[in-house]
Amino acid sequence: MSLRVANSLTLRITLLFATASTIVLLALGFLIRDSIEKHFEELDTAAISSNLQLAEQTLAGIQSNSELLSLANMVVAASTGDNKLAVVVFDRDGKSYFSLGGRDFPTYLLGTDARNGPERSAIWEENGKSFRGMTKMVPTAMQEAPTAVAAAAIDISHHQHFMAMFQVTLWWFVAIAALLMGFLGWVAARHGLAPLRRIQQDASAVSATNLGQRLSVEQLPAELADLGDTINSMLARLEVSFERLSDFSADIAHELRTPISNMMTQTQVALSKPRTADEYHEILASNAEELERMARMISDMLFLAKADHGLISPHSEQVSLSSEFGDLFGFYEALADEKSVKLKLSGDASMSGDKLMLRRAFSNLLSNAIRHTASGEEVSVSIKNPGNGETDIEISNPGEIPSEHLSRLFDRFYRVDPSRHEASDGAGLGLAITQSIVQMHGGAISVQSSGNMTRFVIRFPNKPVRSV
Amino acid sequence: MADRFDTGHSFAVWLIESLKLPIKMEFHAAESCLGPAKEFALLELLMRRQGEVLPRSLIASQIWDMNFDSDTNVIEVAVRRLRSKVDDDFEPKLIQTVRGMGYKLEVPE
Repeated sequence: MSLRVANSLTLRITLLFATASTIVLLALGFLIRDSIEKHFEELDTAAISSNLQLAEQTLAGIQSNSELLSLANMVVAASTGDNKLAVVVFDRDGKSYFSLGGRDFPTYLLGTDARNGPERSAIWEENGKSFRGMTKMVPTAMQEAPTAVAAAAIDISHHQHFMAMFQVTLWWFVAIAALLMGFLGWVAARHGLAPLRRIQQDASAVSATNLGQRLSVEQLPAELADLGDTINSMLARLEVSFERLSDFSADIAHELRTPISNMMTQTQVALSKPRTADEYHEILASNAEELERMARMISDMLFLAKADHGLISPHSEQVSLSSEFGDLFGFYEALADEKSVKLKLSGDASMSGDKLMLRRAFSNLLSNAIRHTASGEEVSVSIKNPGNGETDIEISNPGEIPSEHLSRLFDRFYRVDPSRHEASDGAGLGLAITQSIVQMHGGAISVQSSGNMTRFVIRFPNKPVRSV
Repeated sequence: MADRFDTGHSFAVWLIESLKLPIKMEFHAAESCLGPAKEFALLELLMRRQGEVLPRSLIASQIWDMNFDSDTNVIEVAVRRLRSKVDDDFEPKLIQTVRGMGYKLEVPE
């Protein structure tokens, strides 16, 4: 069972859905976080830049030490609330000449080497607060100290606090959404696969006694309708085969019952009182006749069963069809003569196949044709080579078979006239055997009956015999 | 109806009397008088194995090379035709039907 769960389509679809949506949600989460962070950074940078510009303007106007004091005013004025401003003026030797408010800034921003540039930026913590700071190199108008570095910073604690809160919310949202998508995926998969379960329910209702059951294709979605159709046609084929098989076994039982009960009755009657030797002889002879008929029927059935299972491999030898039919005509000549039926052969072709089997197949057809031809008429066999490597054999005789029988003519034990159970008619296996032999040779046999003419047409393809 | 052993002039009697001799040559000569080759071959088969019951399937296979269970009617008809030439006008009958088995040719003692 665990294997079936692991291999479940629903599980697969659910996992796929959940994974895909988690990836999308995560990507979206990162994107949102980054853009908000970037936005905050831009706001901070704008505030810082305005202070730096102020510092630059002020410094540009300073020409002597005494004016440095105005710088202090400016720094104090600018360092309000969240903002900090610091200025370091360097002398020609690179030493700090004058510094204001630099205490709160990290040395990375305002150290002695900051003078060499480039402009720097940093984020740091101080008294539980976070600051973002930036520097700018500013020239002064003083002779002894021409360069200065201005640094401005802004408290970004509330931004960071907001970001932290936002990220918690965001990741919770992503996690819950992913779970929800997984669940929705599961629901969708289950719902989407519901027709499959319906097929399964329909299919489970099919059994040997109930092969007529079909899947209801109309309700199926387009993707499954084809599958449903395929299954339905498979069921139809199975039903036909199964029906034939059960007909076949019923027929076997019936065919065997009649001769056996005849023999039994006869034997029992004979045994009921003493008989003369002649009478015993008569009964044994009659039994022998019945047994012979049954033996023939059983060997025919065996042949068909073997052919069905592909256990018969026809030889492959060159067979001249006209000489085959010549021999067969010789065999049936006396019979045809007696019935005043003429036999006519036209055409010739040569094919590769099993001579004995082909002879048997043709013999059945010929014997049927002669039997059903009225006195004075003609049975004609014509062999044709249509040119594409095929070989056609047409055996025709006057007389018509009612069309309702044509489709079942090659069925085992099928008789056009059910009342005819005479030995001369065989057991109704002749045409089935013929068909089986023809198919073994890769050919096809068909029958047409119209206009008081019945034609059996055998068509062998170019390469008739299965390679053995 | 003639008694074949008395008349002595019938072709069939002549044939039967020469049964135990090398008969190949006479058969060739007789073929044209007796009718179709297969009919003659049937007679030859019955004669060669006289006293033996020959099943129909054996006859079909030996004479016509039909090596499968075929229409037994054909053999009946062929035997009947042969009889009409060999037996119908003569006594005793040589070709006998053994019910449930086949045919045999036997010269009564």
